[in-house]
Amino acid sequence: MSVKKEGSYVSPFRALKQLVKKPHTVQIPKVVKPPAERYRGFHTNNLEVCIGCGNCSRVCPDNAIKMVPFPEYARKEPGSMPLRPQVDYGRCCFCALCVEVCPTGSLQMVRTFTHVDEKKDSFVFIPDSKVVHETPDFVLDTKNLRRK
Amino acid sequence: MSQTKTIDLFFGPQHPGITGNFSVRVTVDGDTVVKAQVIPGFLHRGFEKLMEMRHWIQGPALICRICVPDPDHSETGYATAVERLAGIEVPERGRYIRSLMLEMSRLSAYLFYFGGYAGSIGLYTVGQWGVGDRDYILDLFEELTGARVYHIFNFPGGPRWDTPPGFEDKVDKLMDFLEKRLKEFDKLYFNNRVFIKRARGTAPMTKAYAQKMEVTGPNARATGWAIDVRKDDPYAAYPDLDFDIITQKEGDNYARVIQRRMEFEQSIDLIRQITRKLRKMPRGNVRVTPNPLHWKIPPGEAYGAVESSKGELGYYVVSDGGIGPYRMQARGPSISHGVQVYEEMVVGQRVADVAALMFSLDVCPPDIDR
Ligand code: SF4
Ligand code: SF4
Repeated sequence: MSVKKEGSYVSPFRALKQLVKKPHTVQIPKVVKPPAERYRGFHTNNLEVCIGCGNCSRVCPDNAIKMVPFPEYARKEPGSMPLRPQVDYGRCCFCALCVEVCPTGSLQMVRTFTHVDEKKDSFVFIPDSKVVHETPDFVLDTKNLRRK
Repeated sequence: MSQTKTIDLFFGPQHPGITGNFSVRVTVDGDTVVKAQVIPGFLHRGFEKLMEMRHWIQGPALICRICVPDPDHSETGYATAVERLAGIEVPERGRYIRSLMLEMSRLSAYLFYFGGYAGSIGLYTVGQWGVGDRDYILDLFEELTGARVYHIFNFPGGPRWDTPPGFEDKVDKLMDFLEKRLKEFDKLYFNNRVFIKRARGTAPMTKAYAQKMEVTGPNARATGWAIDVRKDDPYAAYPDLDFDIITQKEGDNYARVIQRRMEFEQSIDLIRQITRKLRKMPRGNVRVTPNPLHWKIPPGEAYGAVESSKGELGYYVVSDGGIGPYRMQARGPSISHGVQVYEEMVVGQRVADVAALMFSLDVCPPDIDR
């Protein structure tokens, strides 16, 4: 142990050598720190593969998923429903339980996590195969912050 | 006898000298506190009731919010209780990953703690360093769990996923870095005469008082009382790990801070033991959870506790055979530290130590309100 009983007035000044070291922080938006492989961001859903079973909606702890009708996906196979999940990002806590219980594996999460908009309705959407919106993957686009 | 005029001061809820959404009304006579009343409740979210409306598997998504700087202990406490109730045995690798996360979480909470206490006595650099270094731990959490702060990872049955390839090496590298940094922290902070003069002898707590007030965790160990849930009621991989309970004697602000500094070193050592073991283990099998949507647990009750960075954090769970808890109750350390103990101990202290005592007890307001 290097903790001394009486301490010193001088030793704290050795911290001054930190001044010549590089800072911890990264200069956003000049430097972009990509999220980790497993990062849990927005949802994507392959609407063709999804069977509308509603497991994702039932397991969601925040009641963020609502099943909405999609008559064009009415199929004959048992267990298949003409419904697809719609996620409300005002409620979602990005726990990924929905992804975990999806029996078809159609529901996934991508690493994108920035979405800036004035209209609150734009935070409720039906995930499809496209990455959620036009913000490029993990780039914090400052122009996007000021969209009309 | 002449009575001087006393005035009431409000500390919080918007005050840098308070640990969160929490408030204390102190009555001061000159510079000395003569009465204190804590005002909690700004952050009440009703977790216990919310849990009763949810499936067994949905708990961790909620209760990690009970203690913000140290969320993994909440998840694991609940998971341990549910596992005991359902009679689930977590695979060995799962237990080790759990302990790894808990110790990493403890390190990150202590880095916050160092900065918090130092900030309350005016040594702001420590706070900047603490938050900066904590981010490297969060980077590793992001790699392991996919999230930085609320990991939602320790489910009843085991941790969600196995470690990504090469994770153990990255953890070891970070531990080397933190060990080096701890030496610099020693110079800047723990051996700083200003800190020692301010902290030593301030608000001492005796072992008997700690036992009477149900003080737990590092605050209790700082009085010389050797209690530690990791030893007394082992969970995760702690029965297999080699460590001793560290204690101090004095029980004052200084002992409480130094206690955490010593445990910081111990956590680094524990993490190294865990990564050594993880490397030797076959990968893959970490979790056993039944189908979450149809998971029913036979009627009964169980208590699972963990040694969080703040003290004993326990969950009492009752099942009536349904798909979720019939009753869930949390036992947080901060209720006793932040309400009963704080109100009594702050009397007689100077105004400048009102915030210092709150930080030294490591009070977590979200845990008080729940
Ligand atoms: S996304 Fe998966 S879980 Fe949700 S309805 Fe489709 S198939 Fe079922
Ligand atoms: S990530 Fe979690 S909160 Fe979000 S929609 Fe899925 S289950 Fe619900």
